[in-house]
Amino acid sequence: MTYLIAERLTVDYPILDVGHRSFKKDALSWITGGRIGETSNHRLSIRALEDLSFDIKPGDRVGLLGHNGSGKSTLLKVMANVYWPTQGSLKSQGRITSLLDLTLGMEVEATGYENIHLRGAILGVKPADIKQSINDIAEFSGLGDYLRLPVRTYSSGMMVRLGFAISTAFPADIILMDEWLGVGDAQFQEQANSRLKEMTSNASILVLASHSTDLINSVCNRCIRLEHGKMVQDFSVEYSS
Amino acid sequence: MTLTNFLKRELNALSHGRHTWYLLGLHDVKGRYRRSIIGPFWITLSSLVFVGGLGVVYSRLLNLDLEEYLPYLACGIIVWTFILNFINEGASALIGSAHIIKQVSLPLLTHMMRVAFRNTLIFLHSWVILIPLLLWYGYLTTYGLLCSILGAVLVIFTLTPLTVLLAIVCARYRDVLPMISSALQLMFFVTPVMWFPQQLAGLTSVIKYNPFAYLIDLIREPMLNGVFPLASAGLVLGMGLLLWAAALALLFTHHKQIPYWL
Repeated sequence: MTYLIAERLTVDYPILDVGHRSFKKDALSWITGGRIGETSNHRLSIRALEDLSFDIKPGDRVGLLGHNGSGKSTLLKVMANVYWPTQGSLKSQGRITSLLDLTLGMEVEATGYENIHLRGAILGVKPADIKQSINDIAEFSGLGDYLRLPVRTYSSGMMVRLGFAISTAFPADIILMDEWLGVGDAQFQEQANSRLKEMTSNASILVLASHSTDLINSVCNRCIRLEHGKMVQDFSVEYSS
Repeated sequence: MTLTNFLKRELNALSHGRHTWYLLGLHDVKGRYRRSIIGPFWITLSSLVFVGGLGVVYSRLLNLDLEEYLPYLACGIIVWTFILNFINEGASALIGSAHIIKQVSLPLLTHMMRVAFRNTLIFLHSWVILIPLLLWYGYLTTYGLLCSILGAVLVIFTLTPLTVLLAIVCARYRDVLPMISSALQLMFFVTPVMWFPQQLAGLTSVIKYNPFAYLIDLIREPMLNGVFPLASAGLVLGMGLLLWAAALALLFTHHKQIPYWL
């Protein structure tokens, strides 16, 4: 059973400027029992998410709507288990695939094939599974013999195509996305679009952050609106397409 | 997160998740070979040039036989370079992998293991060069070679948790990284790498309380004299176990903050 349940989820980003990163100051304050270096003890932080509670069930396609800095990306990263809630909790069950950074872990000096393995390893896919899907990835990326060349020689579009092909090759229960991915040229975009649609419809939960109400109306059946880190609305949307 | 869940997650890096750091570490080394013919052997080569130059001059300065001094110095320098790079790179393991840590959820030990594995592979490059050198001077025995491999395993076992501790501290306090590298620079001169312990003229505490002396001893002693230094081995193993306990404890109490620090 797949789910994402948040209970009073709060995230505070600590701001560690030079004063707070200094070992000397902290050491001084330990030695002197806090008398010296005291001024820097007020720890500054920014509240990125405040008191969010929601229950995302299988079949939910959730759109996260909000302005810049409203906490959409932070929430996605908490869902991806990258950031831990500073208060409250987020419980999840199911294989999570985050399509936030498609080329993460790829190395420009390594060949396309090597990068498939590298990116797969970072995504936590077992080597045997990568080997099994390598032909599928190669075919879908449409890069052909380019895969034998170092990624350094690729255009940025080709690199994203490869990243996309790898990231979407493995089935997922929960998919996290920041905006709908637009990859490559017109022809590839169409292929990517249908693959993404197929993948998201196979997954039991989709969370998509976006600025665009149109996009959320066409993909999602539920919408959560964030403002300054707080949840201001949680409503269901009708499929318009 | 409970302790059991934490241990399950982090220690997974050593079992099912080991292919991640294996692959990343392997590619780090491969990266050094790319567009360079001898790749990581450059490190070996610079060690050898250093050893050759220093050996000739210091054997005169210290009034020692070149045949006795050169193999000792070569082993010492190569093992020291390994320890030095292991600690320096390990201490920046979390900072260096910040872009990965902030995007995907992997056990944090993965990043330290990657550095440990990379440095072990690079050490093997230098170690291979030692074998013909020692054979030429008639030092190496098969038993000694096997013992020094065991010694190297113990050294890696002990240094890995040390880098976990340092990496966490360095992620929080950015001043610590340069502190470590300058401390290690000093350690080079007070550790018996370039000189023999007998030459200390009574100042034995320099060696007695110097953990690096035992680490080097564990690899160098079997290669040169064909004996396994049991006392050093016991001490290093004890240090290693303590360090692992401390490293896992610190990681447990701070793993939730680490992504925010990077």
